[in-house]
Amino acid sequence: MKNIMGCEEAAEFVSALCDGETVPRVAAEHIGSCQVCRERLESYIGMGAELRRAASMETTNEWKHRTWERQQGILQTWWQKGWETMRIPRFGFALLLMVVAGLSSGLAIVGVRARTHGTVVLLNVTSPSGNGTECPLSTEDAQSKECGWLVGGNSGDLIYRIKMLARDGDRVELGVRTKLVASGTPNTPDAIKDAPEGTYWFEPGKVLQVDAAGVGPLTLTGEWLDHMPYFGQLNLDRNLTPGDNEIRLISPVLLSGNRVLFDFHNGSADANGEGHPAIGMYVPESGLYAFFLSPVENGVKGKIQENRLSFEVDGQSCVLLTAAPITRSTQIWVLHVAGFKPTGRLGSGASFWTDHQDHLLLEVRAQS
Amino acid sequence: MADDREVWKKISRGDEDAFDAFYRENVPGLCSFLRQITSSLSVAEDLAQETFTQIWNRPNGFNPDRGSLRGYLFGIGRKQALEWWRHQRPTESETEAKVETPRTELCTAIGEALGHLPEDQRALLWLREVEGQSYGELAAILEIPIGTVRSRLFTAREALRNIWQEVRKQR
Repeated sequence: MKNIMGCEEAAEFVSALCDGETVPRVAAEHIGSCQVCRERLESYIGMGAELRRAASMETTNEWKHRTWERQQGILQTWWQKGWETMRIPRFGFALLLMVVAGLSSGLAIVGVRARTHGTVVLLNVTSPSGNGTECPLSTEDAQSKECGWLVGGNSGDLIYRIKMLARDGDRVELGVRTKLVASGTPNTPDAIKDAPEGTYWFEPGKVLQVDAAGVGPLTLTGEWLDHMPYFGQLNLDRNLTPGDNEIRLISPVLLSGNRVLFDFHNGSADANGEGHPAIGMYVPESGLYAFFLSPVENGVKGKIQENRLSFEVDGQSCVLLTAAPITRSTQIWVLHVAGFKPTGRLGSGASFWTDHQDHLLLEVRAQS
Repeated sequence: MADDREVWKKISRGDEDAFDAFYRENVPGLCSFLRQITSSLSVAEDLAQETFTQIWNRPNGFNPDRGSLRGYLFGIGRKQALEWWRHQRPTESETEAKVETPRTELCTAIGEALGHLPEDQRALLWLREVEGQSYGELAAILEIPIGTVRSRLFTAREALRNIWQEVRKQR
């Protein structure tokens, strides 16, 4: 379909033609065949010529020779003027300036320290198989100087533990132990204590690679923080809302009545993903507390209010308090098995771990 | 543009001869332009002098990557003129009286017609038709987007055309 342009639309292009601009083909065709537009074009051209002719008739003054001498800096003259007319004692004014400069430089130093010289190094540790974890280590808090992970593999499990040893300015000295163990070995400090500890100086912002028990390199990057990150060792994208198929237990405390059954300070477990995620929690002398997102045989329904889970077992009210919301749902199923004994990698002490519902139930049945 | 860089390099180093040459080459055009905005030759001359003085005292003021030296000159000149207008802003009654008086001193029909246009349209048409500034330079001088230059030029031309036709009929 042929595009037809009217005089009103073409008028602006007539003006553009006067300025040596090119115009769209449809506008050019219209202007070429339209008498009104051609008259407009001629009058625009005529106006321009008339303006230039009139300007040429303007009397031109003889411009006198000028000498060009650059002024002193405006700041300098302003300063001299102020100094000369100052009405307060000059010594006092100078002292005031020094105090202001001293205070502001102190504030600047504090600001820089807060950003680049924090007390926590947030390590990003990538295992030889590519699994990434975060490991926050404090240079000051003795309870947050070590972290460790277990990564499953075909030829066994790789356990590594990283310890904050010392700090020297912007760098820290790390003690790293790695060990390849048989699948099912408990991930505890004892399991790796016989592995030699290599010491390395690490500077946040740079990359450090450490041999991981001959399996490949453990890659460390990191940054200084001025606080301990809230989610500790979990990769939660700093989002407080759990996913729709996720259970999070972050630094939980289990209460039975008014009694603290166990305080898992700084411990975290995050069960999510495909299938039916579950979390098992073993408390010595009290047994297993297993948490599921769907009903299970012999399980009781618990009520979730953000970071607290209330449930009842054996006629006793229990509360599990955590540092962040537990699930997206308001209910969860809890299975308590008093005589449960953990096996394999879990060790015999208090622990909690992520699992799959079917696998965990199988373990429970195996012991009953 | 390469020429502008060379000239500005000399000016910013304090080369008085280079700046005097730049002054002599451009002061008549700047003065005519300022006269269109202020309607006064003596004011235009004063503002032109102030414009050149300001440029001379700011050796780091011009960035060749952002436009031509001539565009920079006219941009500062226009700002000087607008500043002058702000201080001269007449009272209500004086404004009405001024409307009766043609604002330019060009003794032609086109000059009379131009005097009836608002300041921004006069400046735009003068810079384009007489000074031959490009769309890019006009955008920099008037501090408007380059796409707006075309539409504003059309509006100004159409306004001048209508007034010019009226003036010619009256004469």
